Amino acid sequence: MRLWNKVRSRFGRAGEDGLAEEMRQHREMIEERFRADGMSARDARNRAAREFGPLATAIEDGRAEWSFAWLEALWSDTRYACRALARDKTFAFTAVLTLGAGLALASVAFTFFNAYVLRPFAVTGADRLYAVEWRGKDAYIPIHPWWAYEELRGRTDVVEEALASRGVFVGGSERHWQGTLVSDNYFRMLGARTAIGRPIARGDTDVVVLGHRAWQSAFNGEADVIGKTLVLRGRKYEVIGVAAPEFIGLDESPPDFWAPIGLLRAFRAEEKEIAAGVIVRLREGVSKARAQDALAAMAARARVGLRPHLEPRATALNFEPMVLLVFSPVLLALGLVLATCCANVANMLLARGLARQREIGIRLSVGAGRGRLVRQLMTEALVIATLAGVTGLALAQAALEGGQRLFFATAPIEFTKLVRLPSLAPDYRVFLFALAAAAVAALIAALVPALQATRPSLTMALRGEFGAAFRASRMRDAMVVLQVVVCTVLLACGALLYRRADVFQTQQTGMRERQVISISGDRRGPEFVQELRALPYVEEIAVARRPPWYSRLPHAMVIPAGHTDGVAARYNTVSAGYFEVMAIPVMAGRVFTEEESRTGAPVAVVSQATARAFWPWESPIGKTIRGVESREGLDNLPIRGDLRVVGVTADVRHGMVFDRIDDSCIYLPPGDSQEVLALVRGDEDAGLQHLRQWVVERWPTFEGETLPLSTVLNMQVYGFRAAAWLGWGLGLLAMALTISGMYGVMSFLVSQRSKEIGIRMALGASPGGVVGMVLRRSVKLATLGVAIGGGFAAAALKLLVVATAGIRVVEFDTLALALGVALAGTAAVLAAAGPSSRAARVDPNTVLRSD
Amino acid sequence: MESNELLPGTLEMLILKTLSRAANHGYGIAQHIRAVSDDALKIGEGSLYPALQRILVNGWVEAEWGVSETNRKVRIYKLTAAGKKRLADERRTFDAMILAIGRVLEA
Repeated sequence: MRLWNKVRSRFGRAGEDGLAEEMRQHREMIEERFRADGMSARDARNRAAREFGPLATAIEDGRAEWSFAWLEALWSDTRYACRALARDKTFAFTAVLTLGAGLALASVAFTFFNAYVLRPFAVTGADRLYAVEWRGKDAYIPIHPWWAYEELRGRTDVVEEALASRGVFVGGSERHWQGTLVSDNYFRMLGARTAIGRPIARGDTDVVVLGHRAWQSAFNGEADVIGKTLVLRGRKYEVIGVAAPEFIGLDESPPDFWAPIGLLRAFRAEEKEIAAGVIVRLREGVSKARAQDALAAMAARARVGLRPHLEPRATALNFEPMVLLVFSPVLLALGLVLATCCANVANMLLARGLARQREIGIRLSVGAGRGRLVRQLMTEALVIATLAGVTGLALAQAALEGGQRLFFATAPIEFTKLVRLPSLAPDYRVFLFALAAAAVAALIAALVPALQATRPSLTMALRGEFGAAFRASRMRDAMVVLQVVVCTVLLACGALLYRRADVFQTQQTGMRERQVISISGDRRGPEFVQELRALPYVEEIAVARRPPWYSRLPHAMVIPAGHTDGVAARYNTVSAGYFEVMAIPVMAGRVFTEEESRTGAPVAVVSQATARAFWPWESPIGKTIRGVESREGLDNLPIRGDLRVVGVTADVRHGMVFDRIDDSCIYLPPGDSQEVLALVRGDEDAGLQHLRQWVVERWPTFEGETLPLSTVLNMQVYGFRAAAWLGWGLGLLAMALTISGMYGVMSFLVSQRSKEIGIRMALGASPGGVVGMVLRRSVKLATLGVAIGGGFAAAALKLLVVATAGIRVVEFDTLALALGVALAGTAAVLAAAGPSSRAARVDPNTVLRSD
Repeated sequence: MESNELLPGTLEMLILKTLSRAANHGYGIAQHIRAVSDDALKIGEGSLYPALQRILVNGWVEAEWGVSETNRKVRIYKLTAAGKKRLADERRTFDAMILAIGRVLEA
């Protein structure tokens, strides 16, 4: 009621307007009365004025009843803050940029989080979408036969509508196509629009709808794409539409095209019947648990012991504690940098509060309430934060843009062809986050300075001095120390990652690292392999169960001759050509013959390390190895019975880049399901293009990847490189902040104590002594910061080592720690050089006369 | 007597009571209170108008521009239903308070 009346009054229907007029009339009526009592006009006016009292105050008071007092105070505070900031542009600029840098980092992190975890797919009823899976002990069935889809679709008791979809991959010589084959109700059910053309509908056969990004990249976003032909796996498809930019399907990576699921066999020739993933939209009000119960019988019919599981499909990734845990080091680093930014700005505000001591003192002494002043200082911080939030968002966008460019420019090119990113454009969630983060940062940075600055006793403040309770210098020192600490930790971590990446880069695998192209996927029958071997640009081919560097070799349980207990050893099944293709030196004996390779004879080749471990004192040639029933988690050797060792090869590294050479490796002749490796003549890139061309033309229905092994290897190192760059980047940013923080504190110290310094110099102190005084202080702070930071950095490195203990990604690195400490310490002390030299130039004559 | 010498909160009640007899303008209200109290209660305009505004904001009275007996353009305040209820409430509280104070003084 009150509020409504107030609001209404704003629009002039009732209330304060006319208040002045009303009062004037009132006054005149009093005047009239006095005149009626026989007073002269002048006396009456004077008397009335006296009786009525000051008109202006009465009007003010009357108006005050109507106004939103706090809102008006906020407005005037904001105006005041803007004016104050405009007066001190250097301060405003530095503060906004500092806080903006921190907020930019936070926004970048949040943008990714938002794109994958928070932002629902732009489809109808996204929060009720679930992928239907059957799960059981050791079983996980996400793909269902067509009749199961139709049955799910008919379950109208819990399911509103259901769609079937299946991902397909089409490798090309120029670009790859990632597609989603969908049931004809897909676009209608999801309410997905097309930017141009029309979506897939019932009765469509050889048609595709392009993803917006693919349309941009493969067709330059030309509108006349509709009706054009797209050739995939040798079959022609008519482009009927382009999806709206906001529609990116229901997977974490946006597909390049959608096509009717009836075409599944055209893409996956080996599939006899159509099977697909099923995504249902539950009826409104039906809970996930209830739907799972309702589908229990159906799951059990698929296989005994299976239970239905509904996996939410509202966002690209589901939020799970694991996700947070995995990214916690990055989040922690970002949080630290943001904290440093806040500390820096807090420092600036403290300094500013000190500089404005006299102004604040005067205002306190003429009756300004402390709360009102604190509010005003906080408003100033909020204005800074708002500007910083805007700056941060702009910086974040630039960083994301630049980051993507950098990624596509530096990552192995064959890898970038496989990457499809969701839109990273900011939406309202990112804006809200930036705003909230800015507000919180402002609160953190400004509250203490505001409280501190308004505390001094009046008399001292008026003289520009501070009460004994004013501990600003201690606060400021603490902030500088905090910055040095963060800087040390980040630099040490960055240095560690950088050095690891360097080690990995130069680490030898012991095998041929270029010119080998792996062809993985279906369709590798004898015909395929024979024709491949006959190609003129292919020197040699091999097949292997596990091509190197994709993953580690699996373990199997074996009993070497002369042993009684089983030993876990790594193994791979490879053809005779493998040793030549991968250039693995044979140290003793021989490798498989073609015959042994083809028939899967019971022979084995072992690595030197394996031989040493199994038979330390004897020749391994002729010894036997027997595969035994494995404990849980280990593979069984594909060949039963005794295997005769025919050769020994040099030690190599099949696993990840951070592994050492294989601690054991038993090579067996190939069984089924082998990946093909082709050693090409001459240039690797040319060979790759030839091979892909051949696959597309000769084996149009082949589904799989053609990837140089060098790319696989580079990708392993690239992750570390990227992490190292990130670590360094954050460390350097922290260092810049530390330098500016230390610089600020020391400059302030010098200007604050210029009178004291002047007196000292007048009394005979040498410039060197004065410089020493300032430097000593900064060295003290830097030492403290580096000492604490070194401790934290050691703990952080230790934590990194422990966290990655299982895969030995990181080793404790004393040099990195020392480097971090040295860099941070040096930077902090050097930052004090400018202010200290200014201290040396203080002229006693000038200083002692001023003020 | 200035309003701050009134018991706190009573000014609003006096205004509401005055308006409950008939709609009136600001000057009329002040005159009425003064006349009825035999000049004992003189309401300063510096407090009358803020109080009127407060009452207006709360919706206890409605205001309308009109013309006074002496042909002046004035704002006429009229009690609303909410205002009547408010007056009754305040009256009850006030009576109870006076009674209690009286008891204490008599004791």
